[in-house]
Amino acid sequence: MKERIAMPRRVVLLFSLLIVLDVLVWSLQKHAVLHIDLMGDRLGLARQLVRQPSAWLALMIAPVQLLLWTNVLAHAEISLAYPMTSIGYPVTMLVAVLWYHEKLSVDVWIGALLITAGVWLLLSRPKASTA
Amino acid sequence: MSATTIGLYVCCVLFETSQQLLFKLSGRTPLWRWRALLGGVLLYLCQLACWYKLLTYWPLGIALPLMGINYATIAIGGKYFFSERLTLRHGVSIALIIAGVAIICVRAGDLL
Repeated sequence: MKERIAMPRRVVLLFSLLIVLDVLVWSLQKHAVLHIDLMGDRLGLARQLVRQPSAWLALMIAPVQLLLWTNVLAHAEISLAYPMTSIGYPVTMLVAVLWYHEKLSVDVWIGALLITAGVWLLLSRPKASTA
Repeated sequence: MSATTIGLYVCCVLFETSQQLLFKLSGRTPLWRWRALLGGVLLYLCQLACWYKLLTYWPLGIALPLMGINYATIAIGGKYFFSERLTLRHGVSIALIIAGVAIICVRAGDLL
C-alpha cells in the first residue's frame, strides 16, 4: 500500500527551504574552515573564524533556520520532522566532492546511503487503515 | 580517529540532541517557550564551536553523515521526554542509521 507523509503541504514547503539552507550553511562552514591557518595558537580558530565572511554568513542564516524550525515543530512530531532534514546529507556530500574536491570512498557513500535509508524509514508512516 | 576528535564528535551529538529537544519543548509549552529557546540557542553555539573544530580534522563529506546518529538519539529523546511513539519500524530505522555510522567510522577510520 502506498505510503504518505502525514504533514500539511505548508510544512513540507518550509522543510524544503530548511534543506536548502542546511546545505548552504554546511558548505559555508567548510569554506570558512578551509580558509584559516590551522597552525595558529589555541584561540586561533575562533579568532580566525571571526574574520571569515562565510562564517558570518552561515551564522546569519541560523536565526532564519531557527524561526522556520520552531514553526515546523509546532505542527509536527520531532521524531518525524527531524529526519526530513537528512536529505541535505547526500546533497552536501556531493557539494563536498564537486566543490571542495574531497575524496569519498564507496564505503562512505554506502554508509551515508544506509543512514539516509534509515532516516527515510523513520520518516515514512504506514497509511492508516480505513474501517 | 583520535581521542580529541571522538570527544568533539560526542559533544556535537549531545549538544545537538539536547538542543532539538529544547526547541521541541519551546514549541509545545508556552510557559517554557523563551527559557527553552534560549537554552537551545546556547547549546547551538556550543555545538557550533565543536563542529567547526571537528571540521578542521575531518572532511565535510565524512563528518556530516556521521552526524546522522542525531536522528536516532533525537527519536529516542522524543520517546522519553515527550512520550512520542517508537515502533518496531523506528527500531529498524535506528539500527540502519547506526550501521551506516559504524561503516563510515570503520572504513574511513584512516581518514579521520
